[in-house]
Amino acid sequence: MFRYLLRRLVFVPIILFILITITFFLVRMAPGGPFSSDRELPPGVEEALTKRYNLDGSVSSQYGRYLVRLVQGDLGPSLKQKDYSVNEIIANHLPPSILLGITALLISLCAGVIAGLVSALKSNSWLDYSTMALAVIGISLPVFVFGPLLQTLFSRVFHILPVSGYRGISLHLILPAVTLGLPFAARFARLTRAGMLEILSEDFITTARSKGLTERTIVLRHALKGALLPVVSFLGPAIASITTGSLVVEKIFNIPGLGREFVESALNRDYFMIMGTVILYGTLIIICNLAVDIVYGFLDPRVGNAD
Amino acid sequence: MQTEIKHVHKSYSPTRLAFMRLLRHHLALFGLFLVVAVSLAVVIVPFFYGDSPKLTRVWLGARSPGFTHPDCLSKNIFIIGEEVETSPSLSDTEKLIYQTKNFSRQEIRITTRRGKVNTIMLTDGARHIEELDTSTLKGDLFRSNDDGTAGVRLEQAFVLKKNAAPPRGLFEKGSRVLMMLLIKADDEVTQNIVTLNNSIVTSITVEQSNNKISSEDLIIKGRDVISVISDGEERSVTHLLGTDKLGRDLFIRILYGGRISLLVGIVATLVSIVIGLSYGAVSGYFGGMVDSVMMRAVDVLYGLPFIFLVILLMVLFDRSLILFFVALGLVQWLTVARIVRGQILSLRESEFVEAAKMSGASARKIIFSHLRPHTIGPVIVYTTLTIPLIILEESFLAYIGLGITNTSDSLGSLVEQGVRMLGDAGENWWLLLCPALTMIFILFGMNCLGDGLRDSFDPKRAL
Repeated sequence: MFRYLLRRLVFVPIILFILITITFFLVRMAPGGPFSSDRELPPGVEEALTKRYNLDGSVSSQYGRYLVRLVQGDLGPSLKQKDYSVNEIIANHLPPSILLGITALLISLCAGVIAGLVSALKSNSWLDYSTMALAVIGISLPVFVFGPLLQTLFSRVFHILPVSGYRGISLHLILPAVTLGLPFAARFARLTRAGMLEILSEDFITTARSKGLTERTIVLRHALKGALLPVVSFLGPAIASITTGSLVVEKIFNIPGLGREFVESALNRDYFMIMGTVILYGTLIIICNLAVDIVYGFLDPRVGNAD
Repeated sequence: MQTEIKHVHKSYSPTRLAFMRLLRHHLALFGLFLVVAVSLAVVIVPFFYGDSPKLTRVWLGARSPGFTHPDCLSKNIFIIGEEVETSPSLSDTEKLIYQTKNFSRQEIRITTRRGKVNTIMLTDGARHIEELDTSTLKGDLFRSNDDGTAGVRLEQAFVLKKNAAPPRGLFEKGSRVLMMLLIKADDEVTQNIVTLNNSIVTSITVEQSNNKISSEDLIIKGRDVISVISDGEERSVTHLLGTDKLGRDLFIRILYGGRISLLVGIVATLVSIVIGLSYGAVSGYFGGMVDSVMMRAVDVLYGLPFIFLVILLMVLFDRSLILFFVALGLVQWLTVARIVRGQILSLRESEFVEAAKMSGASARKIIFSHLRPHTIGPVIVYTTLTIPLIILEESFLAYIGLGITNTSDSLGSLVEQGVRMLGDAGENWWLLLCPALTMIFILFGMNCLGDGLRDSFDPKRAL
């Protein structure tokens, strides 16, 4: 297990390095630049700007300088939001995104696993069928349809919850988190159900039953751990797609998160901001994947022992 | 007794078995029905529906489903009831500007040079200027009677052509001319003109190039439209699902949007399947060192936040259909590679591969002729489950304003417009509901079908 972990850890900087390199050169290959506008800049001004923002010299030398500063933890200045560094912008806009993502993940995990368990334990009942039909609808319903739907229902018709905005941990968070969590809750429910049904048909469950254990003990003690394996392995991709989903949810509910900053920065060719966001999200996703693998290793003793 | 034995010994191929299981899977059949119905509708109906997704009728605005109005296309002759004081001579460059009342920003400019039509431009304010395929601009030219009705027809259904003399009477000095434009709605360019001509022309200005005369001096204040002459039989148009803010028919827009979405989903999935299948097959077949290097590469790539790279690609480069296929296909191939590799690994040791090796088949032959057919089940399942995923992903991008630009709008773009146009009290509900429902039908159908296929290809399942 330890060796397996170590080997995974070695790959983290390599993945990050590849990501940084691809993004850096991809962004530079694109037509247009941060200072290109309809207005022609005087040659002196443009030179001064490129010098000031470390954009002079060949692309590869800029790349080298960028890496050096990056290692020191400096993501560079924002080229569009003057007076702000990328570090500051990220520090301002990351908390809402993270809070939203975590809330959505928790909601979807709880709702999904419970729904999946109920569905599996009452399999082939109307409860099972309706839950699974709901789950397929949940997967098929685009976030940006579900969001406005919830807004209309809960804020405009019943006036229970605020329409949009961000106030930290508050009622404002409920609708966006539910919107973002729905498709994942649906997937978790399906995975839990499938996993549970498979485990329940295994021999060791039959043994447990023949020993006269209560159904409750069988499910919670023996089956649940194995049944949740597919759920855990889906957590990695889920975390990655939650970041994507939050781009959309942030737009619907007007949340000042990092997603919008990313799209803005890409549109504005704000080189350092693009790099900073991609690096940040990349690191987050890689670390989450690693954490998921560790949890998986604990749940499934077969993993890692092969090495 | 005998029949029972016969039954027991009857054997089917795995694919056949899967198909038989599928036929008993009600939800999957329902999904299949939905998918086939929507796909057929999307492909076939536009051929019989006399409208175009780009045909705008701004004066209509957003109308709820079932809205009916007289067909402007069949009555597409409008008399532009203006008397034209034509210019003194044909030798100079002249410009005729037909300014419309409803679209003060849209006008047709016809310039002549040495007595010949030089350019015909359709302008939309200052932003967009389109030079027309000159042969498609047709019109009737009348000499007006004193009471303003159309009199002697000077020229019938003339065609304005570049470098040809303009129709007699168009620039005739001092003559009173009624211009009528008859435009056939047979392609994009002419449809643009239809929208123009369905509105009322309020002024026709004549300008001389050397002698700048202010257009106000030459605007002849006169009657607006004198009469509308019907070209064919009168009929009315019903907008099944209403129209959007620009008066475009929502039904046909949804059909075209469905085409684009399905195309994106299918092609991007195929791209990922082709790459992933080859990669996974090679990796799984050779195993050992090759396998572990190739799979390690997949692991590394799997860790990348690909969607950000896709967004970057879409923002930074031309958002064309091809780029889209490549970007989304590149993201998805990793999963296929893993699935196929796993399948091949377990098949590699089987007897029929041994036999093929013994008989001297090459690695290539074994991979592509012997092993690949066995991976077809998982790949089919994966395909049906990935297509809706990619359609969703495309709609995500469309929603944050990064959709495909050089085609008609996809379902995702339509939904996005629907959300924007919804209004505070949801007064334009159909603009969101109709495309969203269509999209949900497609995704729901695909997902049900995919689930059913997965169950069917599972050999553990009873028939």
